[in-house]
Amino acid sequence: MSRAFFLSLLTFLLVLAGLAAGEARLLALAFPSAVFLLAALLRAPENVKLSAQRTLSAERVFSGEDVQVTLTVKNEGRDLEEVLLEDTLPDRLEVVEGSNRRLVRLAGGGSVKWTYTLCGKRGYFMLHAVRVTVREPLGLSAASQVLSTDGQLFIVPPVLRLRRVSIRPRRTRIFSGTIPARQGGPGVEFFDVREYQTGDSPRAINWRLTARHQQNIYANQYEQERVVDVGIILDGRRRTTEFGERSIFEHSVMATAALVDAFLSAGNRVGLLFYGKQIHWTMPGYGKLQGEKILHSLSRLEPGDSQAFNELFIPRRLFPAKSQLVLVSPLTPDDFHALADLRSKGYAVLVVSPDRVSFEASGLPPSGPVSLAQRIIRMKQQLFLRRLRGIGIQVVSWDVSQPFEQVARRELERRQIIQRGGL
Amino acid sequence: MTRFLAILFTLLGAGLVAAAFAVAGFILPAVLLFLFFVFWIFAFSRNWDWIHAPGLLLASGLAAFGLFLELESAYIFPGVFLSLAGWDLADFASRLRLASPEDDTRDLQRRHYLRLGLTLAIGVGLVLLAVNLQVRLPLGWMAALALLAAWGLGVLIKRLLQGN
Repeated sequence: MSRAFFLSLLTFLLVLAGLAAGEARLLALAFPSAVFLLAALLRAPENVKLSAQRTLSAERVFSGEDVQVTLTVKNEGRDLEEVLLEDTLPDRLEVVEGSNRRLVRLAGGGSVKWTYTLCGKRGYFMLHAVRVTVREPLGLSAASQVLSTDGQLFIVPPVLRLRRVSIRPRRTRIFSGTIPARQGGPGVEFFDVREYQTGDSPRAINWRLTARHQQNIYANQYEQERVVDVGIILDGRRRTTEFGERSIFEHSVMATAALVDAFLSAGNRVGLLFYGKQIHWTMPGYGKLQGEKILHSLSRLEPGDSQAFNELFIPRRLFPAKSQLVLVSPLTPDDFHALADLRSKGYAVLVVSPDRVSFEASGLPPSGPVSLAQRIIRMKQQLFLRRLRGIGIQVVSWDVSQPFEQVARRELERRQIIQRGGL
Repeated sequence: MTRFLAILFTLLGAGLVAAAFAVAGFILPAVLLFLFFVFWIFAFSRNWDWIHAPGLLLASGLAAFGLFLELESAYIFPGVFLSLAGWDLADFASRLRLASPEDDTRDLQRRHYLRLGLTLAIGVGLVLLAVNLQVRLPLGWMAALALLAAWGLGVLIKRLLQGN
């Protein structure tokens, strides 16, 4: 019930009581509240003309970094006695210094300017509304409006630096890079020996072999290193990433950001496919600009369940044949067929799997049944991962209680020689 | 300061209304009012803003009942004025909670006190006029004036609520 309505009701009741009782003093009792109402009406805010302007110290920050927001609100109408200005913020943004609210008096033609500091979690935020409530001095009458401003903020996930990620797809691109190309030529690693040809460096001659064959001269060949196409697939299915109120999705996003950075730093062409409620595709590209594009995409992603597909569905037409695919997913046993299908089509597949079993168990109170259930599910998960390794898929199981860099250094930085399944 | 004044005015207002009853020998309403305002202080300290309206309603209702019983109006009218001021200041205090540390709340408070004082002074003047000025009107005139007052009040309230 608004204050004006309450006071009106009280006044009416007193007047009615006075009239009913025929008591003048009862009628007189209604005067103070009637004067209150009249005073409020005389000063009621009308034709409120306000405008707002917003500036941000940065439009793109990493998760956990501060952003300074400066707001200027100008009164282009008559004097306003009591103005509550409130910058409406999304839930995931937090004010760490200053205030997003001001309670001020704004003279006609005057303005108020203030700065406060925000911090938030990963996300894309539109900051475009300042809510204004203008009250007359007694606070009985109020006028509210929303002032529109420009402002958007990308809070991108933190990018962990990985030195290298060892992959070995069948097909490479023509530009030189760091991925072994299964072809002889200039390089570092020994690849093959062939007959010496004009133009070969004398330093490449394999003297030991040449000594055994008096007719021919043999030269060493090295394995060419080139850039490759890498398609990163981030699994955002709610049923694989969320456990009650806890979600492992942020860990997946963090791992994806680190992998994207590592692949792009090595000169590769990288694209990102997000698979959640909808499919979101970031076209492949090279370099820092592509890194920014993918970080911006990552900042917007939210887990959700697809209405169309029950199982993992990866549209192959998006990825060049025999290229490298990296799936970041907690995985469920149902995903086996989708991954086996990719392998059968010649893709090199790397799976980075945040360990859902340990993550879910860490949120449960320790007890005998929980421990037993955890052991059983872990065994099933390990069997599933073993099946994946059996068809030539490189699997990194990541216990998210450990830093991703540490796991990646142990599991991904070693050079892949030959894997089962015909890599 | 505003919170202190809100508590002071509300308690003085309720105390005066309770005193009017106590002086006339009606102890039960006085005790009930006293107990309610003990709870009101507790609720106010917990920032339960909904308590202010029932507080004013109770004080005004008992004041009206007291006038009907022809209790001492020297207690009743100041009691209602102070209760109204306390109700207004309690709400103003809750609005001031929304201010940031850099806001000039002193200026806002000064202006608010000025407006409140002026409004109450006009109210007091009108009440004094109404109590002391005795005009005998025929019944038809009285009915017409009552209807006019009700219509005026209705228009006033409608415009206020439309503004909100």
